[in-house]
Amino acid sequence: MLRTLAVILLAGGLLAAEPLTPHLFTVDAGKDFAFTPRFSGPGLTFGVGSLPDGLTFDPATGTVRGRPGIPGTYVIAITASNRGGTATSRIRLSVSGRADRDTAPAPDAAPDAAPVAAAVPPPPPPPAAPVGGEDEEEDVEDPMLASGSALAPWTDNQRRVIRNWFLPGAASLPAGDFYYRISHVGREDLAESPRTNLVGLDDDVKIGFMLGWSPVRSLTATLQRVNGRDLDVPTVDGEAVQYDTWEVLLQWQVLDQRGVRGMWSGPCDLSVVAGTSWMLRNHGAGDTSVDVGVVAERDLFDDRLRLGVGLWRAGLSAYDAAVGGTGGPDKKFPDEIGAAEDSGTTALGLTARFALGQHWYLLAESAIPVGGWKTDEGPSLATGIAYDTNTHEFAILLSNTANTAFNGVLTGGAKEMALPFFAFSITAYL
Amino acid sequence: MSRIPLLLAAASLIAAAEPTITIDLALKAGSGDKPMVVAWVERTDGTFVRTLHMFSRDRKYFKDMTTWSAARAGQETDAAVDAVSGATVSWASHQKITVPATGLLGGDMVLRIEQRKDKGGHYKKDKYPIAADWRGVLISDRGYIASATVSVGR
Repeated sequence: MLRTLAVILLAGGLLAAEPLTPHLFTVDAGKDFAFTPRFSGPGLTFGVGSLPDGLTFDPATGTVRGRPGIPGTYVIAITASNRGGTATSRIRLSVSGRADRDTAPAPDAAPDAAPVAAAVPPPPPPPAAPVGGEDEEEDVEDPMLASGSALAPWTDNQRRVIRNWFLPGAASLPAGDFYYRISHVGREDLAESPRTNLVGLDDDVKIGFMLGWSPVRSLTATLQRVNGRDLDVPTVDGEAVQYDTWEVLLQWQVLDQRGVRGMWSGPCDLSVVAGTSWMLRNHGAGDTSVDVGVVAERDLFDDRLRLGVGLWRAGLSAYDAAVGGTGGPDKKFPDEIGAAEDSGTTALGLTARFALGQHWYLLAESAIPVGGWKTDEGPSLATGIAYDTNTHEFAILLSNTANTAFNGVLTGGAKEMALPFFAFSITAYL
Repeated sequence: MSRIPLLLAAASLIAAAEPTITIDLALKAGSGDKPMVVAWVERTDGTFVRTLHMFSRDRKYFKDMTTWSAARAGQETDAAVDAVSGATVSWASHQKITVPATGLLGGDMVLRIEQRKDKGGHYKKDKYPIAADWRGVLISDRGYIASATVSVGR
């Protein structure tokens, strides 16, 4: 404001609305350029200093226009004079020899001495290199935008599937993320089956929990305690048994197909998983198993359907080994003494997750034992529905087994029950 | 005829016509966390001038707009940013804001825009030169932006 007033007073009858700092323009060599300085006043005559090759000057309007041909930086001085004095507008023109982001605006159609009203803006400039240097970090593209299409409304929610009900999923958490899950499996008559009891907070509240953490990209660790049991069944020793199953799994995502489009194009999400289940018995002793597997999952139909297949191997824990006769005679169920001595179970895992909309999903999952311990009990099955807010997931499921620990699903099953188990889980992503 | 009344009239006309910049920002369709978008102005040599508008009020996440945060460090107070912060733009929605542009249309400025989505993309290299007779720019299909119409009122 003050600068503008100073120009007015000094110039007398000449009103010069120009700033006192030079304009800066950048244009590619051979491209159109035009500039008209903004002077207003009666009886103006215009003049110009030297011009770069390719540019011409219109003395009637003061416009400089043309196609500069030689790269370089030029200062162009345009003067306007009347009986009140002379004012000068200087512009600095940088002519580059390559396509550059910082291109000049579209050429002016006419000189413009009046205030410019807000108008429809010109077409956008083409993609450009950063001004001021080439050491800036690159953009991080969202792979969901890689296809150029708008995000599907369920896209993000599908990416947050870390673990299914029985088995790990193939997608790892983003680096630094946490999630936790609380879950409950029950049936109407808990007293009839001690195997429906989860973590024994009290006789009626059985809650399992799971924690997940991704310390670095593509690596996720989970800890869960699900099969805490209060067994009122006396063993051969006459002592009631209590034990908890703690499980730690590490997942390394080898392939990430996020953003890949097309029915069968591109790779899938692929992870390898390894871990252990640790059974703590009421006298304090415990033992571990070795659990490994590989899982692949693929999004189909614009991420609406996610199908998974896995091959898993879970080793018998000391408890199972004990009742199987391969370990020390510690705690046993009377009806399991002398059972097969296979050291573990191999199972095929199948998962499906179908988006009904942005928030609602149908879930289906199966762990099918194909070799080893407890294969005669058939597959573990679960189906249900979930509501996903992207930060939380609320799921209700029906299952034929109370075992939801990875190891327990494969090595036990506990599928003797005629009625399905009702389960719910609440998962929160942090 | 005295030129003084004419000069005074002209001065008042200039004083009344404070320039403004209007940003009409429209986001693409999507789900999950909404992206943060910030627009600011800096000189062509990279010197930070001021923030035009921050399309978010979650101050705890401002630091994740790393390019903008680094540029304004020590140059702009948090209170100044709060004054130009507004609601996050929802997916497939738009917001229109108008800010004073005094001192920004001198021809040696650059409009910067940074976008970032939690656990998504981070677009930080967008720069648009601001000439003295700049009329704005139309940005299309850039990152999470479906379109952003930046216009100048004088």
